[in-house]
Amino acid sequence: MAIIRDMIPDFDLFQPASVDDALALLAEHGREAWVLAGGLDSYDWFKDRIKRPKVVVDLGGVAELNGIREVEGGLEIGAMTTLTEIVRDARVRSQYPLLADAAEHVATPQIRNQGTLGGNAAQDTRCWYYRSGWPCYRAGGNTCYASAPKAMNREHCIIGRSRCVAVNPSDTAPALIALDAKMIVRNERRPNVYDAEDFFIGPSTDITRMTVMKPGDLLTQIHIPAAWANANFYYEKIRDRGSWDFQLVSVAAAFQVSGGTISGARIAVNGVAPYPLRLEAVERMVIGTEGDEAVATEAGELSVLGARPLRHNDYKIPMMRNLVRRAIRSAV
Amino acid sequence: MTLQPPAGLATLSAMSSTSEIVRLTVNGDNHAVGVPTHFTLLETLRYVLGLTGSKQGCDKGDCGACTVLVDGQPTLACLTPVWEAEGKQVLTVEGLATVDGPHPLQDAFDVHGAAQCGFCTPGILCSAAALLQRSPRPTRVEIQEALAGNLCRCTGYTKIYDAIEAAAVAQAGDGSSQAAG
Amino acid sequence: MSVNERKSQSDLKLIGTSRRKIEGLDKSTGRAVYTDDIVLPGMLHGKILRSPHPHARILSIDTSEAAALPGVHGVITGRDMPRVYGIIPWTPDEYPLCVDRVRYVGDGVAAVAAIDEDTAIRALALIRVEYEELPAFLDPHAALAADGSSPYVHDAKKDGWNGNITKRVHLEFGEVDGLMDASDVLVEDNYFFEGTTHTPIEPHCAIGLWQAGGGFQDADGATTGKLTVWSSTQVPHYLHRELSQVLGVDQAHVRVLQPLVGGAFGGKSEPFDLEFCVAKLSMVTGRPVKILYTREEVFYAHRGRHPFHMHYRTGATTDGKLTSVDAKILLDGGAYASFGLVTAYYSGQLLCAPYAMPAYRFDSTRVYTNKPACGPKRGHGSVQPRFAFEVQMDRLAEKLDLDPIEFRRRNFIGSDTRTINELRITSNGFLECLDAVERASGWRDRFRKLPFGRGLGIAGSTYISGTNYPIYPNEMPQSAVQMQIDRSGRVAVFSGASEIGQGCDSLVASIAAEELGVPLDYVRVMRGDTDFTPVDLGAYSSRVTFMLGNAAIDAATKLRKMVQEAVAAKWEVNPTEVLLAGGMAMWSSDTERQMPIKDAFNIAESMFGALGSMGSYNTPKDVHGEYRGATIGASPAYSFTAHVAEVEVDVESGMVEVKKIWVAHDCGRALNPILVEGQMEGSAYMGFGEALMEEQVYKDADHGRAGLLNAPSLLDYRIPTSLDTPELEALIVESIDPEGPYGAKEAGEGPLHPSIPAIANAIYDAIGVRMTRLPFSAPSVWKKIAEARTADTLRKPLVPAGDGTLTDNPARTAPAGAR
Repeated sequence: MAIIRDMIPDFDLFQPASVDDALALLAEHGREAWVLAGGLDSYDWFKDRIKRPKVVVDLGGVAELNGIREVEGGLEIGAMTTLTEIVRDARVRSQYPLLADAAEHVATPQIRNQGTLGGNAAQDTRCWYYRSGWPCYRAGGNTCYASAPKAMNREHCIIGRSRCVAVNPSDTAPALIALDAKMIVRNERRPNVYDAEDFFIGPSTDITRMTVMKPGDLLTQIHIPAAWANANFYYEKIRDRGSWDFQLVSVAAAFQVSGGTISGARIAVNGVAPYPLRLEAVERMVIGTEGDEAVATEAGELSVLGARPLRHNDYKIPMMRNLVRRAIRSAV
Repeated sequence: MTLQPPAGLATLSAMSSTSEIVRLTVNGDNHAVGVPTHFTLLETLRYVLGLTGSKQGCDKGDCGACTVLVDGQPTLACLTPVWEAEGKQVLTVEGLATVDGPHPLQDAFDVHGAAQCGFCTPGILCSAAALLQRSPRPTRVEIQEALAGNLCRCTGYTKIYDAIEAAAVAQAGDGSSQAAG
Repeated sequence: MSVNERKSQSDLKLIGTSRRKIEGLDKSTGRAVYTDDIVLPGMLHGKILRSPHPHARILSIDTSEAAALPGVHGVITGRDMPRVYGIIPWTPDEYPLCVDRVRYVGDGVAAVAAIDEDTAIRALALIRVEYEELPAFLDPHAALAADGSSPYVHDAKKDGWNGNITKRVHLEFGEVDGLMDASDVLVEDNYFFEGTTHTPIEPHCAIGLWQAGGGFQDADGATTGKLTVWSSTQVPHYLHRELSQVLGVDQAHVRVLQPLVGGAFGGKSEPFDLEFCVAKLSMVTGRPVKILYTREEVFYAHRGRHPFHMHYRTGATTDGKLTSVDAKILLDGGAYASFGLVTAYYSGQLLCAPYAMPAYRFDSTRVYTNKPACGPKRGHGSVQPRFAFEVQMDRLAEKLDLDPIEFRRRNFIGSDTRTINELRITSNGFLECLDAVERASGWRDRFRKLPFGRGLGIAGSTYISGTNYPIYPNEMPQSAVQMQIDRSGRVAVFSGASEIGQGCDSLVASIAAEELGVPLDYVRVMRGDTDFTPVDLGAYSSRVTFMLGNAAIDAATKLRKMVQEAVAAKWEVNPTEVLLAGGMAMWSSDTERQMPIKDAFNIAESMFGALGSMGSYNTPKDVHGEYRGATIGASPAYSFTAHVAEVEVDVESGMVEVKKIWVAHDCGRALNPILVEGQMEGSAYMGFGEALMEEQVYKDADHGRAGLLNAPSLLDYRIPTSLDTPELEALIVESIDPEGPYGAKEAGEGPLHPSIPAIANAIYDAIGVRMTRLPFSAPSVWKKIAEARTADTLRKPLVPAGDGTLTDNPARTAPAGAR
């Protein structure tokens, strides 16, 4: 807001070497602590001087958070695995190309080299009122600037608003939902495992957070179950420019097909709600069909039932409808 | 109304910064430098080591002008905490040339008019050098994808593609850099 | 002019070939020095405090706490530099820092110098500014309609005037209304061009150094000092003048240095607050002071493309001839005049070619609004009307059942002629441009015949090769070059021209080498320092190649004649028979009779004494009419451009993909083809970005956050990446201008113009939807698609037969049923 920024305020840095040490630090410093993964979104916040943590816990030295392992029943991906590693991993590419495709749509090559799967999935919203440091609901204030009558809200949500109208910006989040990924979250007390669609939360649950994680929590692994390996996948992201841009609307879908009909489906859309939105009604509708044009059209219609535009984002309704339609068309 | 500074700004002070000794290997040279904890790799390269080839265009990871290679990977120096580069090999545009002369990419950029104002050039060269390492004879689509994090405002990218293709040819030793214009 | 008669391409050695730039390897090795790369001993870092309000009175500023902060060496406010200035001498309305009023969010109010940036930032937070907020004008229509009930953005110059109006221009040529009424076909519509900004990758940066004493005295004999400013400016001469005037330092005691500039595009073509602040802070602290804009501040500095609200009526006859053009334009100028007076003229004056217009009227009004000031961006003032007009041309062609390229040919204005507004046209290669893009794009087989969703569009344009008159009235040359020869055979060229990436240093080097016969690596260019380089007015208005080139030819020719005369005397031949080429002096009648150029130079030095020369260029003055404003838009030569764009539109998402742009440009002569191509490709790229994604927009009045720039970052202000940019094919057309250096004209701005209307016209060819508002982003294209579906017009347009019968089209498949 016309405050000159781009210099980072000082902070205390901790560089734990193990998950246990990291959890202990997070428990000790509570809300004061900031978890640094790839550092990209973090440094953006720090340079804007809008988030100004006293303590930074850098996960860069925690080796056990890195890498992709084949485990019983699927793949286990450390939360600090970079997006580039995921894009280039032969197992991901061959069995779960949906995830590689989504990861390749993130930002830029440099950001994919530095950015992590955990950081991408857990990233904060891009609502520019919030990012500019305005005291909105999400920032602890008592208003939403983006839903005001004359607000700029071309990128904001059409579904699931609850005081806040910001959207989840993650490219990998809808792919993780479509793959039925399990998110392993640890804290000093115990590990929790969440289905991906439950990991992401909306403002009606907690307006200040994008995920279930609270201070002290750490996303450590992401499990990709083998159940959806080698399914028919569809990923599409519509954005204003071809690189370094967040989605206007994106869709990730996985279909299991037998005998020319859809026997299983998981479909998620992002950019339309404060959380990546799983379309369970659409999934139910298309299972047992051949996913033909009529089904695809009906699925598109069904997906946007209840969607309500803000002043500048009515285009998102047909965009979402048509992306869902394209996903269904691709299924068989 | 009085302009209120953002909360907490007044508690900042350069003099309260905790300085750390960070050990860096940059273009093959080992350095031990004392920098504030919050310094980025770019600030350290430009303002501490005097390696001003890497540019600050946005300081937010949006333009790619600060791209350097960290263990061979194109990396945004402006968003890299300096300590993250400890124990790794940092290569900047100054490290591409050898005593015998410029890197084939550097020469090809000159020959093909790929640097107009030249401000994005160091970052683009680093992205391109990593690409040629990974894919010695890249297709144009591969080049476009490799440069997708480096904004150039002058050229429309065409001459940059020409130069990288020519450098690939020159590096492979099956033609001169001029040949693929 | 002799140079052009003399030089057919076969006579030229270097000129006309693609060559490295003299600073090219410095740029690709990281050695090139830009302003922020310079560190001076004891240098302090400055920061500027900026207004959080779009419009407010400054009631008080308390800097005492900031000044007392350890590490802070100086704090200044507007009161320290209370002299108004402005790049256009008739519209001064800015202070380096605001004195009593702020006019946009981001307007500077105070500056500090401290030992490091952290301390300077901390000091800014300690400055207390008391404001009285005023109602803000954000909408240009509201600014125009203002009645004075709340303070205007600037005080009215006379009672009863609207202080929100910077400039109104109304010019009329020919029988506009009569010819309009007599037209067989008319098209009329509103168009909107959203504001865009330059975004050079290098943020503005300046360093000030005040050296007090040293024998420097002012006019009254009092001790003063010398001021040196390094800046990433594209107008060092104007900066030199303004620094002197605003700071009250004798111009002879001011030195401006211009390191290499990391892109400008018009965004660094006037003085900015940081240049005055580093100078004043250095005078206050006695230490060198640097200020580097954050990227956010670059967006506040702006001076980018004005948003234009345009209305056009255009008539034509059934035989495909334009009859009358009537335009009404509202320019949203932002908080200060900047170049706005010129912009208001350019919005109309530069439209009168390449098509002959029997009658033309434009009525343009530039208003102030409480937003960062707009100014000149590549294609200053004429990119916006060109978009509207070339879409109008496409519509007229369709109404007339004519191929749009054929329609443009029929209205070609020709060469060696005058436009309706009396501008002199010399060389004109527009028809060759049309031919080139028609051929290269496969137009005849593909226009209107590609499948639904894919299309081709054409547009043409013209642009100036420099303005005929300098910004401040004077009769002195617009450009000058000095050359000297040393005993090793080297040529030193002293050039004050602004190297912003376009290659002007290489231009003067190659002219010296061409004329004096030395290898290019014998030429050194001394540049960017007002202490020793002659004045060139700056890198703006596409003036550099034309004016600097002619000045360099002038300087080199004088030296060449001395060398020829000396060698001729030794050989006892006629001086015109002595050739200087390839590092040798030769006798034209027997080229075996030769000597190394170094020896020739030594002979000349023996005859004439030390060898040096000055060359200069000034414009011809009889190239425009006599009416008020006739000189604005006048240029010694005009470039011409035609583009064909090919697009693919996804009607389910609204996404437009530009597949390719064919860019044909008449640059007179391509002195260094690879650099000309680079300018053409870069221009087309920049136009493409404006067409599809760029928009500088502001938040509206909710919650008192009015006027805040929406997206002051290179993430949110989207410029095209490598994955967006279409394939660009540069097709050079050479018309050999009679007055240009070796026949050259400009290439840096003209080729931007047609990108935008060519893309708009291609979208129409693809899906039958007319885009009249920028940018053509997915959401806005989607809205037009939805309207077209409702109106049942979403389809390929009909194929023009040229005989009045539009024919149906095998590719005219009905669109998919998506809503």
